[in-house]
Amino acid sequence: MPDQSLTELETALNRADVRRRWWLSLPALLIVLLAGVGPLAIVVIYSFLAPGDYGDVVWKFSPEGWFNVLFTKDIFDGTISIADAHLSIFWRSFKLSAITTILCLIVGFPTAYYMAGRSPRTRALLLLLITVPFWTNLLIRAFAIQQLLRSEGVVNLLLMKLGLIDQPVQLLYTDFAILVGMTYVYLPLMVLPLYSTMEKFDFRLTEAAYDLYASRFQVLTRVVIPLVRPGLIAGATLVFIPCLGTYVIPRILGGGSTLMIGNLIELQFGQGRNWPLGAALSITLVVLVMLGLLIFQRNDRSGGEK
Amino acid sequence: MLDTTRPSEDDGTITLSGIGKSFGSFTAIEHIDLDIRGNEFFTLLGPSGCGKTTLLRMLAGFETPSRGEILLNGRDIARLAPNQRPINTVFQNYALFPHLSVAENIGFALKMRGKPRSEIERTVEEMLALVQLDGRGGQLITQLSGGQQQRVALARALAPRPAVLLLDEPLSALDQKLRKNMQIELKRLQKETGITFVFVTHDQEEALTMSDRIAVLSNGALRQVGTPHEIYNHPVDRFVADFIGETNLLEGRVVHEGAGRVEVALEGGVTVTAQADRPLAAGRAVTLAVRPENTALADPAPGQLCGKIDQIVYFGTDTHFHLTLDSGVPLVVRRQNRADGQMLPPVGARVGVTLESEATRILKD
Repeated sequence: MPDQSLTELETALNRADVRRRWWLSLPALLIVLLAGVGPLAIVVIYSFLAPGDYGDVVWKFSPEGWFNVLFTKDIFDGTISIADAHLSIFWRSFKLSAITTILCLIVGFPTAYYMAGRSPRTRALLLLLITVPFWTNLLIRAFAIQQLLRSEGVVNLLLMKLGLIDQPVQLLYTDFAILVGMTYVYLPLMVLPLYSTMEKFDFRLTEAAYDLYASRFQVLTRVVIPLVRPGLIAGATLVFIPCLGTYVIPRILGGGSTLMIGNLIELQFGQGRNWPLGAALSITLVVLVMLGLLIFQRNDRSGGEK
Repeated sequence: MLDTTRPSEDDGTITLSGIGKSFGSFTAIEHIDLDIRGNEFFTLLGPSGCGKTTLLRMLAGFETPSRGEILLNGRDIARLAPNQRPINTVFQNYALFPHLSVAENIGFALKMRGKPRSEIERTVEEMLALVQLDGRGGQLITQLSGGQQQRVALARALAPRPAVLLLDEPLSALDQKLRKNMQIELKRLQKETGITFVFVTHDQEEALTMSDRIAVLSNGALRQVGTPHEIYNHPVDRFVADFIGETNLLEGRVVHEGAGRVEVALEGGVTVTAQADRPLAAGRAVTLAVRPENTALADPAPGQLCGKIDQIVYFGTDTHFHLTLDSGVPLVVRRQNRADGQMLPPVGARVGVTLESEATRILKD
């Protein structure tokens, strides 16, 4: 069609025009360089230096930091073994982040679906309510959950009142507590992108599918989920990635016993006094997050093409 | 080809008996009894808010009637879910699945019913041919024009071979020319498939050109059911006469009655002859309906309807004269244009009007 090629030509010309004025984006580039690439470069450099005796680094090249990410050397006999403590912490971080993402999905999907089906006024109100937790500091919210879950907390008291248990159950300082905390904190990040795609979803399509002999479950899997897929991917990404690096929640709700990558890194810069190892662990986390993003994005694109 | 040799008791006959629908305190449909014959092109016609869409949604299963029953081939389906009735819908906005190709859209219902892939592919090809979109199965919905999307929506709803096809104002989004083509197309599809079509529209012209029979609705009640000819030429009441085409309404009193012909004295003292389908007592107040094409201009004469021309509207095929009669009542006269530029009376001229007595009808009040 001639019309189409004409508009394509116009867009191409516009693009060339924008490219010629690249210097207009200089402020943004500067911020990205100073606040993003710069610090990251420092971390990379630190990871290749030797640790100082009381923290900090000694300006001398050393692969020790990277070596220690995966291996440990026994202090007495010098035998090298796999750092299974690190591996298990990485594994736990992935596992807990993945479970949190799934929990957020299970709770967030119906929530967003319900919201999108309301009248514009109700929608605005519900949207406001979803953002209410953001008004309070994360630390305070984590402590609030701690109060709920402790042995004399509301949850245990309620379960005892109902006669379901005889004595308090250990809820705090377990993986369960971390999952509750992370799901609560990151749920809005799942609901918001899901809601924004569902808001544009044409609900008449569900009627059409239902009319064409789809069961209720098929309406969901064949029509709703494929069409809100971009929101699903965005929500999962927004939940999974910060979960992986989370630090405050496992610290407060997991106690000292259940560490996640974030706590491990913090440990190296604090008590561990091994900054190069901390730096190397940080870079490892960044690389893992980027890999995760790439996978998510690939999924997104293949979904868009279909 | 499509199976047109269905047994006669299974031909998509719908019987509505005592159907009513209320939403809270609002009554959308009062009480409707209606028979839709098998294999007919049936139209529900009425202004917006008359309840025709609610009626259609009850047939599709999206709404459950508050009262009454819906029989499809003698079986009550009023409480069945949409995916349990052999009735499919062509939606007003088409509601095509944007993430699926043309072929996947058309094959959707068959896939949901768990038909084998070979059968789905064969049916999709048949459907594409039926709606003249051969070879476009692989395209995306977004690559199609409005008219083509319309055809896909039709093919998608026809693919599972429903007993009844519901069409919810499917032509309203198309431009005038395309709409005319689709009207002919729809009629052809209905004949070819032998499926009962229930068509909803507020466009009376659409209803008249396509339907075997029409039901006129207003305020959740049936006004008249009949063939386009009956509806147009024998409107039962003021609403139908007014809603279907243009109509002049004149008030008067019965002078005396003959065999089906009644002398009526109009306001202003002029007496005309009109058709009545029932005996009427002398002196009774009645309303006459006469179409603009059944009136003609004449020279003003005593004892005849006379008026002044307010406006002349040229339509190409004909010209409409908007008059005000001496009694103050407005009246439209339609006159077919001829190639020889005949002399037309100018605006402001005083003219006489004659009514074709065969086409002047007394309405039921």
